[in-house]
Amino acid sequence: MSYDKMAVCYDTQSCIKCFACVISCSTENRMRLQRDYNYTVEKSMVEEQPHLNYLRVEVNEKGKFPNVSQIAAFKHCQHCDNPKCMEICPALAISKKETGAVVINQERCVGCQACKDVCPYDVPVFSKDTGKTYKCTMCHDRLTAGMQTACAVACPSVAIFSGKQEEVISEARKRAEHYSKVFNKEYFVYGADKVNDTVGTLSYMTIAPVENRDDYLLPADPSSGVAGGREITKVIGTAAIIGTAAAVAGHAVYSAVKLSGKDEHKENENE
Amino acid sequence: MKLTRRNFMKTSVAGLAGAAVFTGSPLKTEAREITSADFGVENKTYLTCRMCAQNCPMVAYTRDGRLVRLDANPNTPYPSICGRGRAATAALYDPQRIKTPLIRTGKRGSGEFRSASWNEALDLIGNKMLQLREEGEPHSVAYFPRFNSASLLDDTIFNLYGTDNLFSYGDTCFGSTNQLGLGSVFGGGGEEPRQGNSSVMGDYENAKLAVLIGRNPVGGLVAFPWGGMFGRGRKNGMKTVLVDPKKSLGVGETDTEWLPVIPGGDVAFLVGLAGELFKNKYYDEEFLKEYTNADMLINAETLQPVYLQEGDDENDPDYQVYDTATNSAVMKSEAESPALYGEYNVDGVKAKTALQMLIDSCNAFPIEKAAEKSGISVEQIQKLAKDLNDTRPACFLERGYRATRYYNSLHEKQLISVINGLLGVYGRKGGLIYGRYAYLYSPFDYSDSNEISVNMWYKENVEGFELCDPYNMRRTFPLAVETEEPYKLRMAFLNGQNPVGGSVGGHKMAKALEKMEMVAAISPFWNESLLYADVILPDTTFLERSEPLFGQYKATFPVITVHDQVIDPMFETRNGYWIMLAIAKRIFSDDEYYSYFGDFEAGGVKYIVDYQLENLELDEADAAIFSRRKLIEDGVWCGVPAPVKPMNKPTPSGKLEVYSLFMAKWHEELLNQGRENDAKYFDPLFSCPPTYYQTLKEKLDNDEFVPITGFSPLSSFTGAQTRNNILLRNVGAKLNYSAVFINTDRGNALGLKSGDLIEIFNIEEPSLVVKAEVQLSETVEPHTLFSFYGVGNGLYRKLADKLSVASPIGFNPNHIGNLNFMPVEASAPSQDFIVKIRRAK
Amino acid sequence: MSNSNEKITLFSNMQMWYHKHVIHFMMIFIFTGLPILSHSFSWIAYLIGVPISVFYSTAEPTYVGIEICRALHRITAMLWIALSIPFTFSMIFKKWHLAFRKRKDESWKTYVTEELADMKTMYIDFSYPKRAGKYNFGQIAAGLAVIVFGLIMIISGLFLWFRVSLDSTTVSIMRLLHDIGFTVFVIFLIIHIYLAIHPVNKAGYNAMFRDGKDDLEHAKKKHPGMFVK
Repeated sequence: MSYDKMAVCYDTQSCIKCFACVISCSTENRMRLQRDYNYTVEKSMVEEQPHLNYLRVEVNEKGKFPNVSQIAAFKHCQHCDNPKCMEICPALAISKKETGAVVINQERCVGCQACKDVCPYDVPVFSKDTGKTYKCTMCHDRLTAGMQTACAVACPSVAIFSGKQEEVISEARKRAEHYSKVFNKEYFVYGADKVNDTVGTLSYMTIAPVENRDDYLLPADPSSGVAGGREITKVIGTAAIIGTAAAVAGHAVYSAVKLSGKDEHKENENE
Repeated sequence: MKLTRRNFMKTSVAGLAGAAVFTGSPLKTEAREITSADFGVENKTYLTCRMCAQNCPMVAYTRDGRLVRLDANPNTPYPSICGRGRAATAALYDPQRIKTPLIRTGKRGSGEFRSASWNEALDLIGNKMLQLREEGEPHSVAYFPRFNSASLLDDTIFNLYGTDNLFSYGDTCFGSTNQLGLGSVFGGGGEEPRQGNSSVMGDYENAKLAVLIGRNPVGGLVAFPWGGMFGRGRKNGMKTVLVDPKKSLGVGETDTEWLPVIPGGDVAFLVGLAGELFKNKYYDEEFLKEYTNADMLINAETLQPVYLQEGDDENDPDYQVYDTATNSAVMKSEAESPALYGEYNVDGVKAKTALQMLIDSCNAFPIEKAAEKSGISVEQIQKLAKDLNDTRPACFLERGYRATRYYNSLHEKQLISVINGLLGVYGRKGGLIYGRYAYLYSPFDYSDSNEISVNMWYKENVEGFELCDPYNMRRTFPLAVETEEPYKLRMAFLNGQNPVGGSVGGHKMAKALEKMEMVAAISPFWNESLLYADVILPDTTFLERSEPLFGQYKATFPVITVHDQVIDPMFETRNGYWIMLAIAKRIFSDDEYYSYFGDFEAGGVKYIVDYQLENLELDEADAAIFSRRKLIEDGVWCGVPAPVKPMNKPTPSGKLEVYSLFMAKWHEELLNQGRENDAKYFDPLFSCPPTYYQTLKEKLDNDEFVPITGFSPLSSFTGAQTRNNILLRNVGAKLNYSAVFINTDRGNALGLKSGDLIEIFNIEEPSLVVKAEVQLSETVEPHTLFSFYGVGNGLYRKLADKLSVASPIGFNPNHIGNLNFMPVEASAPSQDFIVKIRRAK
Repeated sequence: MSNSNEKITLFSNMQMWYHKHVIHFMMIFIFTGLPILSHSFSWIAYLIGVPISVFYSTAEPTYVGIEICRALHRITAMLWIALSIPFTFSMIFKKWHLAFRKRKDESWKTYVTEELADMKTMYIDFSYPKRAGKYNFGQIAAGLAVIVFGLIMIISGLFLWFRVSLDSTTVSIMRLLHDIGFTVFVIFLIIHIYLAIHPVNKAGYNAMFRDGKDDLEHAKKKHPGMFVK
């Protein structure tokens, strides 16, 4: 079967911070434990298992009373078009599906956390209990079953919506335009256009006011930080190794030629 | 070179390194394939949520007999359930649920119980109730229902048994204050105009500006439909202004103005706001002329209407106005153009129009004073007045839900309702719209020959309780127990209610329970009241039982929902109907039992549902689209939205009373009785009666605060279905939701930093000390000590073993608050006292 | 000229023993480290994992392979550290001046230029150096690099072993150091192994792997600097 390219969008303006999406994701993952591993819900629903909360919220206060703004940033996997995590995973556990979802195959994950190092959005979460790393799967199983993602179906104010990519982008742009008009400042759809070469476009987009992009954790130029340095090392290192091997091969040829023309040259030979 | 082992190694290494670098990996990345067939194996059941008390329509999914998911029922215009509802799976499977009946072994309050059989426990309760009945004192049984699983039957059983002493939680929430505050302006019929909670709501979807005063539409419940409406309003570009001592999440972040109001200073703010509206003529004159009693002539001395002719079955009410066409005072029905303004002499009586009275009362209160007393700046008040004018009528001041916070909350609700009238938003698109619901009747009998209830007796005989709602009050219980008036209460029966945790002055509730000859309780979870019980019966959660149809929703269209059982009762719990019938068998004679309950025992919930449907009253438009089959198939039926109109209930004047005649009447009555202090709270004009704490102390000390609470979207009441819920705590702990929040500068001045442990006590009850973690925040007004309601265990540390997910510390102001009563209407001023804090040792 | 057959000891028994073990360790480190370094080498993990995962019903071969590589990498690290302790002790008491021959009165410029010239003499002209000691300049530099980067590998490796308890940035930096160290080691090994088996080094090769000894006369010619007072 082949699947359409899908997308999800989070609208910071109509979000009412009820956390229904966070809980919905959390419970859906526990249902998945029962479905896939027979680990039943009467156990998992009453256990912490914090790594199963793929959606996180970070609240930051800015300013001083009474001119204080309190912004709850929604932290979730962006499902980049160019997933750095997929590139780096040594166990080949991460793949980008047809739907656009970037999914970690938990059976392959070795818990090295290389994906966590390289993610420009600090998304993957490691669990000490299971020794593996987890992140949002864009409810790839629900999307391919014709359902909405667990977060989208939970939202009482339709602030998260999922569906075919063109439809989601079109609705998102419509909303951004409307907000820009009503609130007299520019709203944009983060991820609908290419963010930068590192990540590309995003399958899980966000509508937010441009001037607050940093509060909502929507960087203009996401980078892999230290892990990016590793990538460069690998490239330079490989080049250096190949260079060395080439030089050595060259010297070997040179030695062969030079030494055969000097076969009277005695090293350790007895005479 | 010789082909040595080393040679080979070297070549291989270089070769491999080179080769591997250039070739891609031959292996594929892969994620587990899931097929859509996986979702086809789940079963679907329709029900209504009970993680708070709003009964939002839900659908439950089970897989292999286990509850795996809860979603909103999609068959409504606003499918909404909140995070609390979704976390019900953790409540259902909570290993700390009460699993068997329990009988107390230690002292009351110690939390020591032993397991018992159902028969032993039921016999204890039944025998006691039988004994009381035989002694001719069935009315000495006090019944406390709330989250109860035997709806309609339980009240009936106690009533037929012989007691009308139903102590409801309502005085903590909306009881009297919201009802009368709103009703005094837009009516309610009868002597005491009461508006219900579903009576009016903001038309968020079409509003341009919503002023949220004392209300947080996100945490503050009613996901269906208000949460959904609010969210859609924000999507449509609705702006919000927040008037609150704490800036809450979810009402807007980058576009919301916060007006940080001093606790209890809301009335000062409202007076200042009205002053600005009047000064700049930012109000709707046409609306006032057509729909309100702004033109009524009022006696400037007595504050009463110059002449009011009450309505009856034949005629509408009528009142005297000043007709500018004829320059004389005539009845409104005869007037050509009634004056809105002015002072007139009518038969020697100095009279003003109602609107003039209101304007003059505002003028007596300059905006600078309003700013000082409310903590909100002059500029902010002025800006809001202008913004309201620019957006009206697509704007409103939110009516709020929980009203009862300070002595002046009644006046606050009244002023909010008046200002909404000035802005002309009642019954207008984007303004305030009325709700309506389907009426469902109970098949059970009712006896009105019982001894007068304690609440009714208080209402009729005790000064200070004249305007109480006897059907929504529980804090009379400790008073009645102490005074033994009108008679001695001897047994308490708690059914899903937590009076110790839920009513301010909870410690006095606990003392009163200790005086009972027996305390019986039904509850699926532990709470502080249960520590005082003698017998505890575990009933099921809402997921393990069927219920009759429900219709008390807060929407503009009638809604009826179905509630079917999802999971078999866990452990040894039984549903409430079974428990109630088991008790009934023990307290009624066989004849009585079968005559009252025989049909229900045979037919069960279906018997009730059949009755409800047979007696369903729907008007034409709704009846045309009602279908029983669809109700069952969809789990919910929604009727037609109500026509938008300016009034939903009659008032004495027949109009929206921006000048409340009800208030004017009581104002005069109280003055006549020499109760000037009480009369202050019933002023029909704009004024600033004080809170209780403001009369206690004019200025707070450095370490004193006013305790404010609000709902977090991750907790609801004091019930352990949210408090002991690990799915909710997973998220809430990251928000530090069990801490108390104070203003950063005030915290610094006390040498505190976020994370410190502090002790909190009521300055009037210094021996009751609660420990909590403090968090310093810029989002808190300086007088305020804010805590999320119902999160920690508070004063009742014995619960820590029984509810180990809940925070062992944490603050619930109810535990240590005063047993004070709002003047005359007797509801519970839950935030109206002063606490002191100090670093914990 | 006559073969005097008088021998000097170039490498002690301890050095030879340690060196042999280190060769095995390095092979294991590289082999087991590559799959964790990059998924281009996941086939190594796959090859190891396939036979073992037969014993587990649902396990992925790649996953099993990487876990085994991880375990072997860590065991080998422990062995290497264990062996390095006595080795380090023994090295501290060696005569380092046999290698490092900068005279006190000469400038750095002179020293480096002449030593580099000696290296050209040895490896390009294939004749005897003028002043190189036991180790030539390149060998000294390489030796220092091995010590420094060896320590870096061990320390960063230990951090990585216990990474679950550390914060992300620290772990990321440690990985970067481990990667750089690995690259340096591979470059070093290519050159080192090549020169070790090069005809020019026949005597040294025999010394390291056979008896640790060389003919005194030969050594004098090859490493004049060793014999200068």
